[in-house]
Order: sequence, then C-alpha cells, then structure tokens
Amino acid sequence: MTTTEAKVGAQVGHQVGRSLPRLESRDKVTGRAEYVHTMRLPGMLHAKLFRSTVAHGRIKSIDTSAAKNFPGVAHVVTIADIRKVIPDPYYGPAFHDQPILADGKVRFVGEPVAAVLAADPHVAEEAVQLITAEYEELPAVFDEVEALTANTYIHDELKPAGTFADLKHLKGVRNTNVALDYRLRRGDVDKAFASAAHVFEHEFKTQKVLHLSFEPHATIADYKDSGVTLYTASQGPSFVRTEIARLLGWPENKVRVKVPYLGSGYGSKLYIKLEALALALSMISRRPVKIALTFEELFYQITRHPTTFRIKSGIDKNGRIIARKCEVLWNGGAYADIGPRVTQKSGLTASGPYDIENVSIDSYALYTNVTPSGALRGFGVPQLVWAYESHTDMIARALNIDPIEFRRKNLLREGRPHATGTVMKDAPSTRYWTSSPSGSMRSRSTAAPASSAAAAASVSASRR
Amino acid sequence: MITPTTSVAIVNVSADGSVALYCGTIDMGQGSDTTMAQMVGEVLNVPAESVRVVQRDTDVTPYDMGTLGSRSLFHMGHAVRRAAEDAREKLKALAREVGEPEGSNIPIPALFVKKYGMQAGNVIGTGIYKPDYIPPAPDTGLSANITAFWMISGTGAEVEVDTETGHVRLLKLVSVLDIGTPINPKIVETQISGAAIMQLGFTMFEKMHIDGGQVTNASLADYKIPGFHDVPLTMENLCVDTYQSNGPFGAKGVGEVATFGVSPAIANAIDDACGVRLTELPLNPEAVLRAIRAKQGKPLGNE
Amino acid sequence: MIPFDLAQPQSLAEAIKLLDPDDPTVRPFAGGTALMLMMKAGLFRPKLLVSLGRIEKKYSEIAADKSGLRIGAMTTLSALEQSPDAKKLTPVISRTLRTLSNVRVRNVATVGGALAHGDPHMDLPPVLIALGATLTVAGPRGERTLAVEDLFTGYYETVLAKNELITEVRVPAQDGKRASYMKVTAGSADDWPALGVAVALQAEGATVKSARVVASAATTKATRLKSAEAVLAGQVVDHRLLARAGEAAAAEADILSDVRGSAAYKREILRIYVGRAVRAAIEGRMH
Repeated sequence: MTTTEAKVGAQVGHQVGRSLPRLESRDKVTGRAEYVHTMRLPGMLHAKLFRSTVAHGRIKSIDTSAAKNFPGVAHVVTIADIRKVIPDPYYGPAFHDQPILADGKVRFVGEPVAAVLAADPHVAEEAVQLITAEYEELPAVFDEVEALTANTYIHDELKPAGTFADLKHLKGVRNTNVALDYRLRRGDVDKAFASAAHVFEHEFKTQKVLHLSFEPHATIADYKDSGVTLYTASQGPSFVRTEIARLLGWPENKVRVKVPYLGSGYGSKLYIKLEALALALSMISRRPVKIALTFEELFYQITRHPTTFRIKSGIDKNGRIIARKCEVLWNGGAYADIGPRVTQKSGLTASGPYDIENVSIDSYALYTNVTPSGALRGFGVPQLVWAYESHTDMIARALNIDPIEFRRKNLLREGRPHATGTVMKDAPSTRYWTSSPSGSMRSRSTAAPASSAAAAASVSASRR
Repeated sequence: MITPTTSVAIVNVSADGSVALYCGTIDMGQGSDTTMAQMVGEVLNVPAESVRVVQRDTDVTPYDMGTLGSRSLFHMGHAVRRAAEDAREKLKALAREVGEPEGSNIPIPALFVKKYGMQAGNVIGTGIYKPDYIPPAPDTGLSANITAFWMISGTGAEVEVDTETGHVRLLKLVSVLDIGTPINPKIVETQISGAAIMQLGFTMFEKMHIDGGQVTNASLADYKIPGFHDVPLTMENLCVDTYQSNGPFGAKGVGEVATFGVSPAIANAIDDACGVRLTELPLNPEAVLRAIRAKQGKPLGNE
Repeated sequence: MIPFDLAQPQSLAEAIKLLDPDDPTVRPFAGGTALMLMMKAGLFRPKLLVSLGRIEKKYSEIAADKSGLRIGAMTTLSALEQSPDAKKLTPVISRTLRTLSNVRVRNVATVGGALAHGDPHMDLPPVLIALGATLTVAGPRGERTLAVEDLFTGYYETVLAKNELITEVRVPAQDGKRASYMKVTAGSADDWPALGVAVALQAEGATVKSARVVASAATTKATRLKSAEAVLAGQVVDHRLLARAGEAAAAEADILSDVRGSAAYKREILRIYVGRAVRAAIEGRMH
C-alpha cells in the first residue's frame, strides 16, 4: 500500500478506467467475507415460519398449542401477539398493505401466518409442523387479465403509503384490484390509426420468474428500549431504517441498520422484506431474532411481474410508425411491494425506442393471489422490450421490410422528443443508428434443420 | 423513494494520508465498492486499492435511496466524486493555511503534522447528488425531464432450431450497449455477460409453475437457472465508444441494460429460422415445437 | 432439517442388521445426494440413517473379465466414469456419466444409490437395462440376483425390501453390441431429463439383429419398449424403419405430464429420439 505517499498535488496515475480486480474478492473466495446468513449474535433465537396453504381465505383459527408445548420452543407468534407491540402492523414501500403476519386473511400460498422462535433452528422447524390453521376459502384470482375485471378483490381498500404523490388519489378506494393506473397521452392516437396505411395489433405475455439470489434473504433484529439494530441482507438500508422507525414511532437515530456483503440481490432485497417481522419477534422475545430463508422459501418472498401487453401500431405508407397504443397489465401478486413504481417508471417506456408522434399508454398494477412481484434486474423493462421488439419485427416482416431497416427508419434520435415529451439528449450512440450495422448477423446453413439470427433494440429511461 | 432520488457520500482523509469512503451503496457482487474506490482514487490521487470502503451501517454511512435501477454508479458516483473533490479542496486549503506554496507536492501526513504538530486530525469531504426531474403530469403522463440518463442497448441472436423437437441452440448472442465510459472495464464486461445470461434463463426456460395458486416447482431441483452449458457458444459484448456528459467521469449505470433485448432477439431469430412466432415466454422446446406443429397443420394434442 | 441418528457400520452384514424392514424412517445412506434433497424438502424425515461409507472396500471396486464388468454398488459415479475398464467395455456408461448432473454430485453419488432410489429421471438405469445388466442384492436371508430391468415396480418404487442392499452390478460382455443413451432436457442443460432413451443393438452393417430400447424420465420407471424392439429386429436401418420404431415406442410408453413438459410433448420427442438413439448407436456416437 502506498497511502502514506499520497501528496496533495501529486499524480499516481488514473484510477478511473483501470480493470482493477474487485477489492473484496480475496475475502470472498477464502470464505472470510461477512454475510447475514452466517452471522450469529449471543442469545439469538431463530424464527421459522408457518405458511398459508390456501391462496385466498379467511383465517378461522390457528392452533399453536402443540407448537408452544414442544420442548425448546421459546415463543409461537401470530398477528395478535404482534399487534401488542406494533399496533398498526402493516408495511410496504408504495402501499402499507402487507401485514407483518397474516391478519384475518391469507392472500397467497406461502404467506407467513405464524412464527416459531427457538434457540435451535431445528426445534423451531419441527414445531412449525405442529401448527394447524383452518381457513374459509375465498375465490382466488391468479391472472392479471382476470384481476382487472374480477369481482374478487384481494384487498378491501387501497392503502397508499403517502410517499408517492401519484398514488394519493387511490387512498381508501374499494372494489378494485388496480393498485396503480399510469396513463400517457401524446398526440391523437385514434386519428392517426384512422389515417394509417397498416395497423398491427399483438398481445405478448411473460411468466413468473424468480431472482434466486445465491444468499437467500436473512435478517437479524436486536431490539432494546434504547434502540434497535438490524443486520440485514438488504439493498436499501436507508429505506429499512425509515420504515422501521415509522413502525416503531421512533426517530430514525434509534434505528441502526447494518448490511455486510450480499450474496447478490437483483432487486429481491429492496425496500422492506423480513425486517418488520424480525423486529416484531425481537420485541416480543426481548432477544436477538434471526430469520433466514431457505432456497425453497424464496418462491414465497418476491418474484418478477408476469405481464400481458397488448400493443397496437399504425404505420404510414412510407413505413413510419405514426401511432402506438400500449396496454400493459402487471401481475403484482398479493402485496404491492414496489409494483406501482414498476408500473409507472417502466410503463412510460412501453412504446419503445421509437420516434412516434401519437402514443397512448395504459399501465396497470394489479393485485392477485400469488407471491408478490417486485423489481428484478431491469425493473419491468425486459417485459416491455420483449413485447415491443417482437411486435416491431412482426410488423417489418409483414410489410416485407428488413427488420433492421424498419428500426433504423423509426428510431428515436438525439434531440428528438421521447413519448413522454422528454427530449433525448446525452445519447450519442443514437448517431450509429444511421450507419450500416457492422458485420453480418444473417443465418448460415448448418446441419440442424433451421438456423437464423435477429436483433432487438431498446431504449429505456433510468427509473430513478 | 420519490424521484428524483438522493445519494450522500463522505470521504475521510486520516492524518497518515489514508482514505476511507462512507457510502450506502450495497456491494452485492456488482463490484460497486471497487468502482467507488476508483473514483475516490482518481480525485485524490491515491491508488484505488488503498481506499477503505466502510461497511454499510446507517449509524455511520449517510443516506442513499437504494442500490437499484442502475442508479448507483450515476447517483452515488456523483456523490462520491463530489465528496472526494470536497476533501481535495479542503486539503489544498489546509496546505495554504500552513504556508505551502500553490501546487505544492507536500505529502499529506506532513501536512497534518504541520497543522496539528503530530499525526492527528481528519479532513472530511461530503458530497450529495440529486438529479433534476419533472414528474409526469397526472392526466397525460408527460414530462419535459423524465430521466437523468437513457439506457440504450441492442441485442443480436443467432440460433439453431431443431424443428423435430423444438430445441433452440444459441450459437451467438451479441450485446451492444451505450454505457458511457467505463470506470472499470472488466466489471462492466462481467455485468453485461451476467445480465444477458440471466435474461437468457428467463427467456428460454425459467418459470414458476403455479397450479391453483400453488407453486409446483418451488425448489432448485425443479426451477433451473442457466449453467455453463446454456451459455451461447459465442457471446460478444460491445460498448459503443461514448462519454456520458452528465455522468461521473463520463460513466453511467450498467447493471440492467444488457437484459433488455435478449428475449425478443431470440424470438425474432426463431421466427427467422423456422417461421414461427412465439408471443409468450419462456421459449422452451415444447412451446417452440407446438408452434412449429401448429404451423404445419399437425398440432400437438393436450394430453 | 430435523436431527436424526447416524449409524456408521463397518460391514455390510452389520448395516443390514441396522435396517428395519417395517420402518420407513430408517434408511441406508450412500452418497446422499437424492436423500438430502428429500430431507430438505421435508418429504423424508429420518429417525436413523445407516451410512454405508465404512463398509468393506470391495463394494466400491470395479473389476473386468471375459464375462463383463462387475461394479461394486458403493462405486461413485465419477469412479465409474473414469474407470479404464468401463471406458473399454461399456463406453456408453462412461459417456452417459459425463453429463450426469455435475461433478460434485458424481463425486459422491453411488451406482447402488442411483438404482435403489427408483427415481425414473436417473440416467444410469435405462443404460444398464439396455446393456442387460443384473444386480446382486443382499438381505438378512442372504443374496439374490435379478435383472436391473426387473428392479423397478413404479414411480420411486423397487422390489427391494427396506432391509435389502444392492451390493453389485454386473454388466455382461457386450460382444460387439453397440449402445447409445440420449438425454433430453427441457430446462437448463443440467436439468433432470424430460426424457432419456437408451438403446443397445446387435447389428451387422446397417442390419439390426436384435435391439433393446429403454425409455426413462418421461415414464413412471425406466421401461423397455418391446414393440419398438420388435420393429427393429432383423431390419435394415433407414429413416422409414426408425420412424416406425419411434411410432411403436410412442404408442407403447406410459408417459407423465409434469413441469418439464406435457405428456403429448414428451411422447412426440420419444418418437423422434428412438430413431436418433438407434442411429447414434449404429454410428457409434452420442448425442
């Protein structure tokens, strides 16, 4: 190390632009890097969760007696116990819609209903098996298209968190599964469609997928009356602190959030996940409490939004896109998490990287009875690009225009307004769109029955 | 939380000249500690390896909105740059204060000794960044300034389709990106490959199967992610030579942009290869074969 | 995972004594790769696991003579994969193992375990059935020998009693037979197969004298497809014959739908892969 040679006006050579190996790599490959998953505190209890087996139902009863009597069990906790320490036990970044444990209702298979605390995680796990719950099953909605018009409502009323101005009008709204409707109107789409030489309309779908971090979610909460410390595998400790302080009615300076290295996140560890439950369990037990998910439990924590995207384009006789109408339905699962942000921030890019005068976008965040959906590497954009770039290719092929040429004719360039009206700037690479693509990507004949190549382009706004 | 989002950073120069960076960006494998240290090193003229990046602790590290949406290198990068520049200016001021001539190359430890008579004291630089932003109008969704930077990419795919079984072999996947000027080219390279391969899994086979609300493949034995044998035979990552004029050192975020075009590029290539169009992910062999057989007028049954 | 007892007997006889014919919570444990997954998923909760890791070394040995290959049941899959005798006498086994799961699994999973587990997705059972392999089973009342083909009775079900252990697998000398195995995955390349097809043929030039055709993974158990075998026997291989063999296999096999594909799809790829496997065997290559 050469730190002591540092001089006020000296040059050690450029640091930016170096392909420097990652600073922490040695600690990681030698197993010395710290992760919450492997962390222990003295006196710590482990929590294991009893989860719902029904997708939508009223909880008639929860029988925890056998679990409570199981040797080694310290506490068995339901929402009734949590209300004694946190009177309003609902959290979430966009909506305060998620109960710390199921509260009267369950809304997806895998939702935490009760927690068992024990010094030995195996004991807690064994005792979880002894809990039983009775549900009155309710009709469930799984599909985003169905959710838009269904008479089955996942939540009785909407509870926006108040952090987002564009969600305020949803407060107290009943009889809906729509957690946010973002709309964009530019030009006159109907008029443009009427004058178009060709109109194309397609529908695209994406499936539910998982982040699958190598380190599953893990949080330790250590509550004392003087303050609480959380050790948590989180991508956003500042938000965790704000939300935990809110749940406690405390100033932020009594809440300490420590985050060591993460075994990846991909968006799954954003905002607040296990932290509220760990806090409540530590308040009840007056001991540090750790919740560490198994890989199997990741399927019930957070996922990517499945989508249905209906896209319609009007093309003039010169092959210019003159109108585009987008309707995107985001399957948000049982709790909103950051879904309304995905719906808006990605929704506004739904018409793609094209210079189109007339655009209409409707983007809906929908509640359904499946594992909640959130941010996953791309924050909704990959679902949109999937649709609009497939659509673009389909149009080009139908019009017998080379798909690359069709894109080049329509792409948004530096200095031109995007669908939102924001003028594209600091996008110097768009100048390359006027030149020929370097090299050929066309198919070559192979032994296999069919082989080929194609391309897709995308432009997306930074969502933050 | 509300756009625009904020990042705050602190740079602490100790009396021996060593430098610590306090920032809330979480290093979750994307290499942010390394690139942030490089930006500090660039400003303060110290090797990046010597910069200590302090572990995240809200009692210690200042506010950051979160590590998400490719924002860290841009937002926190600016905050870190500003914090380091603030420290550099304070060091220069200290040099002036102790009587050093302008442009002096006095070693930093000597500077502190001159000021405090011994190895003592700190110089603390702070930096805050929040980009300009206009929220979309509620009725039209329009805004004259919706984003701090654009994420621009293109993806090309070359595939081979087994028309008897629906298996798709990825011969080549090319990602072309505008990511400004990389702070750490090697990290950029791995971020691009990682993002493209991750989206490739979501494109080709990953799927949570849900039956009556029940996930029927909730285990790593039945939910598979790409392995080495799923990586395309050839992968090319090409960055257009650009400089992001409003980015720190000409750079911007790169964690997500290579995911965007993967799915449609592959579906478009499948169409180009065998004339079938898939409109639903994943593009697994059964979906491809069903489309091929439907086109042939010999649809597969629903057994 | 719930705590359990682990016994580590020093001999096969001792291990058999520790097993209980009536208690499903007592099970033998070799490589543990399958059992650990079941335990983590909560599908199996043992009271006692009887580790076979310390029994006599001879159960981990591979020997070859004129009659064929003898594989101790405790042989790891990677030891079998690397065995010069196996490479020479039954190259199809060596090639199959190369893409079986991953090297970490192969380093601990055993030949006996791959059979005794009764999982239809395993790669080794169809190959061993095609090759006409037999196995020796030891129990409290001594030893018995049976064909691998007769081991499986259903989905994760075998003829083994809970206190019986496979001790050895014998693969008869192949005398110029040609064999292939094709694993078809529908997810990632290292996923469990959606379909496995193993073929072993006695052939002269392009004429098939006799054939064994075995399907796995798509079926409830590794199963010989005798109608396909009958189509092939005595015939010259051409694309029409292979199509007929595929049709016969698809008509005969009992196929399940699961997350890896519908029965209709798996039936379709079976139809294709029977022909491909026969061709690969004739041409001496693997998929």
